Amino acid sequence: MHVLLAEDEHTLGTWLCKALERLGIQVEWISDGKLADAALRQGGHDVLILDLGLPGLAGEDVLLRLRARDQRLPTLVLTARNSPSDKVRLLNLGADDFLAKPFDLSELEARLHALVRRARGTEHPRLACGGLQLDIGKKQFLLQGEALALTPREHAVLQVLIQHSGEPMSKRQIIDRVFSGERDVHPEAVEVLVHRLRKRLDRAGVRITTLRGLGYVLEEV
Amino acid sequence: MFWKKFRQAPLRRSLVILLLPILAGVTAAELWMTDHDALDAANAAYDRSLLGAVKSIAGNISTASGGLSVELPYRMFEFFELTASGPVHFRVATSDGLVELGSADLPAPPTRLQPGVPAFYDAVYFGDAVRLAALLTPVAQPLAQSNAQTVLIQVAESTQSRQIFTRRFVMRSALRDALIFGLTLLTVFAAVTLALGPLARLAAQVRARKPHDLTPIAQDALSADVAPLVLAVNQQIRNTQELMTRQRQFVDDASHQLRTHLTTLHVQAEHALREAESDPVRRTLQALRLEINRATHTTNQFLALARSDAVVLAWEEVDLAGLVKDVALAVMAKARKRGIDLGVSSHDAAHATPRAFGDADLLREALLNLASNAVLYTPEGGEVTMMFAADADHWSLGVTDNGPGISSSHLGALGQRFVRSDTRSVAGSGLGLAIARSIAQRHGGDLSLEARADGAPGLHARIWWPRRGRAVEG
Repeated sequence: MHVLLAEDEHTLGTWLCKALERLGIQVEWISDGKLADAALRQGGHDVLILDLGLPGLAGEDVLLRLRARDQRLPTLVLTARNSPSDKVRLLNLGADDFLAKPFDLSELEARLHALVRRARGTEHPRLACGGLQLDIGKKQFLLQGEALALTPREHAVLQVLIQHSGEPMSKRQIIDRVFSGERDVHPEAVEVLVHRLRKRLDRAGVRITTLRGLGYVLEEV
Repeated sequence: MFWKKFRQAPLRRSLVILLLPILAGVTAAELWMTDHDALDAANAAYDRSLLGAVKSIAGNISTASGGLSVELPYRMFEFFELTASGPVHFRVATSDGLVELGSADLPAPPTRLQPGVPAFYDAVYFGDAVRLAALLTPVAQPLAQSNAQTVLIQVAESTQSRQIFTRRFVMRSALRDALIFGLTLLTVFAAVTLALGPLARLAAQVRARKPHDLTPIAQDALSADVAPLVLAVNQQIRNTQELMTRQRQFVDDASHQLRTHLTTLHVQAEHALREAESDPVRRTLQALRLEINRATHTTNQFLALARSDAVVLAWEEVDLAGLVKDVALAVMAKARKRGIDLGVSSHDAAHATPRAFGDADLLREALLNLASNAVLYTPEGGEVTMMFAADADHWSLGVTDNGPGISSSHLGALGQRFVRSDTRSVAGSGLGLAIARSIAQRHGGDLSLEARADGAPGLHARIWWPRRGRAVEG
């Protein structure tokens, strides 16, 4: 992986280079906005790590010019602020991901890999959580490699949960997705379906947890 | 001392203090003069009739017989006594006093008389105040008993009548002066109140301003006297505004600088951990990383507090249910690691999603601090429940835990900067509650820490802010 790092803070740049290279990531480090813009025109990078407070040309403008040239280079923005409104602004500017300072090195590494994978289109449309996989093409759940027999309703509920794995889904949200168009569906219907799914997933390294007041979440054990 | 008090006294009072003695003095002087004028006027009027009496006596003197004889005008005297409301005395005598008629001992005129020129004077006769008129007339024929060429005619009347007249005149004048005195004071009062109206309105306008309202005071429709004051106040507001802008700028700069250094430290420590070859070094580096994390947390708290103090609120619609869910998910990992049952109070999200107004970022920060505290201080296996609520006047966000709670003696101090609960042994900067409080107060509300409503041990921490909060911020 070849990363272009645009960061004006000298010490941080030096050590980020060292740490990333130790992880087998090639880093080209530039500390000026205009130079970064020039390097981006040359191309040849897999991902851009962009600090916003650059001298010469502000990070926001580097990003705007990049997108104006229709370069689709995945970009991760390092930001000192961490408020949702800042994130929205960055996404609108054309950032693919952002990381608030100070960050964990392992998180940066994971995000970089994810960005590159997504850009290369190698990410399978395959959903997985623990030992549970969903083959969307075949509409088939696999539990530790073996096909899982489910009713259409059970399948629909489990699909909602695996699509949002890690995020709790309320009964209302599940009803809206599974029983769309049907009226007067009681929340108890969801409880029954979840109860049956729990039995089928028993002792398989994955479980449906109830988060009080928030909903159901599918997670690895 | 007096002048200091005088300068500090309200304008109305100092005007009265100044005007009262002056007005009283003027009125007294005026009354004194009126008294004199009235007496003069009364004397002028009454003296005429006195003179009439003298002249009619003079016309009735006869010396034809060689003696002095007077035919008294009795009828006239009667009228005269009636108008003078007292006895009338007369004396007719030759200048040398050898021949005289009437009341012999009437007081003599104080000055030497010229023949034909009447004189008027006051005197006392038998204990009564009397007014006298005197006239010297030549004798037509020489008298037998006297060589005198002239006859002195004196008429005296009681001054009672003219005194009554003067007193009544002065009384009426005093009444009139008192009325004018009162009216003047009243007018001054009314005029000052009217003239100070713009000042009072300005004061009310300034009092009604919100704590963070830094817009200049409107300068139109101000009287010329108040305008300089408003200009000065507006200048002060501009200074404060600049100061706050600088403060915000400082917080932003400091935030950027500190975060950059901490990020570098982070990267360095993690890199070193990966490079470490011996276990003791690795353990030291792990401890170092933990401490860096703590420093990061404290720094973030500081910056959050500074930001909540200095930032201009961005009022927008806030989805309370969504906000609570976000924060719950943000602390969920930490809670589950400690075996804490973290949940959201069971409002059905579909039909109870109150839309509130506030600064979503700051409110999230406040609730995050309350939730983090609850997760940190509740013993393992405990229960933490987050809630939102809306009533007719307020919105609120809160967290209930079943931890040790807080002694009532400590409740007041908590939420101030750097004060931590005595019952809690976990490390923390003690800024979380202060941040929550500051943010709630910026919204016109406050932080409240209470025992649980159901009486169970634990703490119910809640920030609330009024629906009219937006108007408070201005």
